[in-house]
Amino acid sequence: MNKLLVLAASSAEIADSAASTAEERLGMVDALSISGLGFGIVFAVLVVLMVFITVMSAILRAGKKAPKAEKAPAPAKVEAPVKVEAPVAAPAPVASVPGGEADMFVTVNGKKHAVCVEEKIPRFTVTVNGKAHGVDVESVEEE
Amino acid sequence: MNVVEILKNLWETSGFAQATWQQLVMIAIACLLLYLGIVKKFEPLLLVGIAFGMLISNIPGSGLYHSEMWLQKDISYGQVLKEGGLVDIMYIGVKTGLYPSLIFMGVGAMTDFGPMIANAKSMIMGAAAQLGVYLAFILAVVLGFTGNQAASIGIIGGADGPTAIWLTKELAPELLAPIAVAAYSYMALIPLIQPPIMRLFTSKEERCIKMDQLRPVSKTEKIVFPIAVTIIACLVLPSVASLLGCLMLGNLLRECGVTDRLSDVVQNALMNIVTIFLSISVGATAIGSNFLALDTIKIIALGLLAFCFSTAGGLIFGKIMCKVTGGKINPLIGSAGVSAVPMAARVSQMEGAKANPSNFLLMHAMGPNVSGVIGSAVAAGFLMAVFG
Repeated sequence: MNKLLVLAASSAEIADSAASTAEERLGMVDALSISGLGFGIVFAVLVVLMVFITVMSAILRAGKKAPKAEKAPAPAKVEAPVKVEAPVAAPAPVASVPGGEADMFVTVNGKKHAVCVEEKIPRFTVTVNGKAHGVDVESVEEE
Repeated sequence: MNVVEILKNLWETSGFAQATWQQLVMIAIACLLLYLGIVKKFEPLLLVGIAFGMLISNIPGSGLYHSEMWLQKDISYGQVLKEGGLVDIMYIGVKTGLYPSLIFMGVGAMTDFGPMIANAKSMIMGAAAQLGVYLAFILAVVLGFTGNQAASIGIIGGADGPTAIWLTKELAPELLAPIAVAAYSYMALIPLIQPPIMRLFTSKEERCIKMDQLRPVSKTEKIVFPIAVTIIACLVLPSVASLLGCLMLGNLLRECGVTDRLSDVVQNALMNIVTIFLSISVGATAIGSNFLALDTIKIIALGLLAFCFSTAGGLIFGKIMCKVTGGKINPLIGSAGVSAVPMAARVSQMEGAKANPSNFLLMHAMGPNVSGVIGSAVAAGFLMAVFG
């Protein structure tokens, strides 16, 4: 009796499993519609992204060009003399440094630079980023 | 103590006595894949790990991987940790979708989306190259696979290993091994599979087309891009958030300029570690009794067709765009839309250079190539939403 019950239960399980497998199997119409929809969605997402990128790039490039156009007519910056703001920290007294070899630091427009001294204070030329500037020294602080 | 008894016990517990013919065949296949990876250099970073995982899991009595633990509906991770073998523990990362997502993060950190942003139109070819996913899906249904299995087989056409693994572990875990092996093998074979199709679908004049140089892309565009893609794509298909989100996070780490250390870790250390775990655990799922079946042959054949259809889809749209733009786009770049970064783009470059030695299509092909990564992730997200 027990064996019969077990057999009946396992038959029912097999039947259920077969039914669920059959449910999972797709018909051609379903497969075609899922494929069409899926392909369409991939296209839609990428087209939306394409439009977004195009618009974003156009806006960013327009934004970049506009300030340039405003700046263009502005007069060219006066190169020299660049005011050296204190503190100017020199590793050694400037006077003792041989021309062209000096290591001193100047703050130009708020940025500290290692410079090469070519003339003596109070007015000398420093080379910042390969460009020579005439400099007026307001104060010197030795380290 | 009886020496004969000890020897008899040793023999009975050895792999030789327990081996089945399926295990021996799988060991031979693993050796073949090792040969292809090491000697022929077919995707060696992945194939060597996959093949070795296959080898050790088919050693009789090794107990490294228990497929029965993973085919239950409600997996007990406590049981896996307590009773599982080494590969079972590694496989948790596959089953939870951790490894594919982390690999995507690494891919994102290594990918420059600049060529795609510079030529946004190329995204259409990345979408078109997902054609193979859906045609292979239909063919799989015709061949008698269930919807879930057909979806997992179709995604091989996306030419994206992590995406294929991510979808299959959820929809048809029983097919994970053949699908992963097919996906990575075909990715390695792209230089052999694509060129004949490219020559079939394009004329010599089209292959000779030289494309204008791409515009430079600003840093701001590159930073906004991953954030926008995450928002837009994940709002449309939330199921793809783990893959696409990680891809874009990796790319943001690369482009934002303030997380260089993280970008470096994701591109190198993390990517390499995850690749080792992923390849070994995926290879280990190729157990002889499951792998050596008629379905595996069908999957391998359908995977090849999926790759071919995807290549053709990209090329057809490349030709359409060539016509629409008055011959400004070389249709060869369409075939790069099958993802497989950067191999597919290199193939476009090689074919273009063969037709016209002064033709440089690589950067142009990178546009469809990286949009193919997004396209295949979206395709997988859609299939997950339908069948998951």
